[in-house]
Amino acid sequence: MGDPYASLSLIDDADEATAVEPSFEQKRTYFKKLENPHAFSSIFGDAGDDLWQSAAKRNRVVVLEKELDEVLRSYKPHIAKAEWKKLMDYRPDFLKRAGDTPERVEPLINRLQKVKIPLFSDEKVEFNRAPAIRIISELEKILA
Amino acid sequence: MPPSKNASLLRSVFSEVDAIASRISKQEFPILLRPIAELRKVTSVDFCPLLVDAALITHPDGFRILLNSDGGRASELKERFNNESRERMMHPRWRFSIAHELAHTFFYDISKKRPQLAKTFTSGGGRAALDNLERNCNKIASHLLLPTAMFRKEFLRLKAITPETVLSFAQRAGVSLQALLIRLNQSDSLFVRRYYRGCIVLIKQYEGGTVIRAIAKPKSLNIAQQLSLMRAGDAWKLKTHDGSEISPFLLPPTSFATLDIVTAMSKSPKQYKLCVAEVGSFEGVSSFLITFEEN
Repeated sequence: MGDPYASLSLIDDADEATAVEPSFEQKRTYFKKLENPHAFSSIFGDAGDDLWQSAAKRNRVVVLEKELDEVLRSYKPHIAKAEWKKLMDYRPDFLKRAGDTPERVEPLINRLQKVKIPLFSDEKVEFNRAPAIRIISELEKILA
Repeated sequence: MPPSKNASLLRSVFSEVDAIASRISKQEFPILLRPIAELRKVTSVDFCPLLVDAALITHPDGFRILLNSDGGRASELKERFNNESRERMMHPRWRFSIAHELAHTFFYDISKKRPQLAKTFTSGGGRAALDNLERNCNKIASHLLLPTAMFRKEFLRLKAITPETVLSFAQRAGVSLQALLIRLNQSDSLFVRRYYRGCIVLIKQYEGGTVIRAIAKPKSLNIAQQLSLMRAGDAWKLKTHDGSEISPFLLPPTSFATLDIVTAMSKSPKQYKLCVAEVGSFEGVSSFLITFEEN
């Protein structure tokens, strides 16, 4: 009787002696096939912790980007139309500097969440003409 | 729409605002803002951290005003606004910010289910429409806090114009000295009525220098050239007729200085009475209020 798990095996028994370390992508595909989160360490080994952490950090940077965009979107009606481009130009700069120090990402997400205009579902921010510089200087304070 | 239409819209809003503020306050200072907010269908004034000073929000039942504040003081400030009384007023800075947002509501039709923007300024005077709106909302805010008839009566009732009487007026009205002087500077007829040939100046002394924060002076009376050239935002550099500098911090509470009266035909020295009072000091920044009056 053949091995029922053969298809899930990452390395062929016959080639064990000459086996090469599978690539990260291969490991990831295998891990996905297993559908068992507890198998993470045995597949990725010690290096898995680092991978896991860096994936988690990348994830938080994505969350930070999403938070920043939500904050900016909430202020959009409040900002003079001509000033919006300045904010969009500033956006990558903010994200780059925020992402440079990974340990700051989480506090920054929290601070951004606090300055989002808190709206109920049937509410609308009325138009205003706030200059981009004002918003940028407040975002700089958040970054500092 | 040419600028004159903007001026006409502004006048009509001034008149509406003056009438409401006087009626609600029963002709007595200070003007409490909560009853005006209720009349304008502002259902709530909330304080929270924002990237801007304030925001006006519309919803099906009216407006909500958001003001930028450190989250820690939010509930205290909301309570102060909701329970504001003549004995327990909010800080003038908050009162002006709220009045500014209330000013915006006067451009909406509030008879509809959701407020609808009904009146707008257009570009003019070298400024975009929204810039004109913001600047004019500051003026409307000062009318809400200092309605014309009450403001005139109170100013003309002052026995003398000194730093003490001006400060006391600002405190009674619950406005900052800066707001009071800006309002006064737009009321030339009050100076003429009192025949006040002089000016009132608020200055701030920083480590790096002294700056004029606000100034109120008559437009139709000929005052000393040195005073008529003073502008808010300028550095303080007052010199007497003989060229010596006047340093406001070294002056006694009352003193005299000779300044220059200039007419089309001549330039002549004239003595002015100066009264100075320190009106604030915080973290190395001192504020002084100075009155100048032709002797």
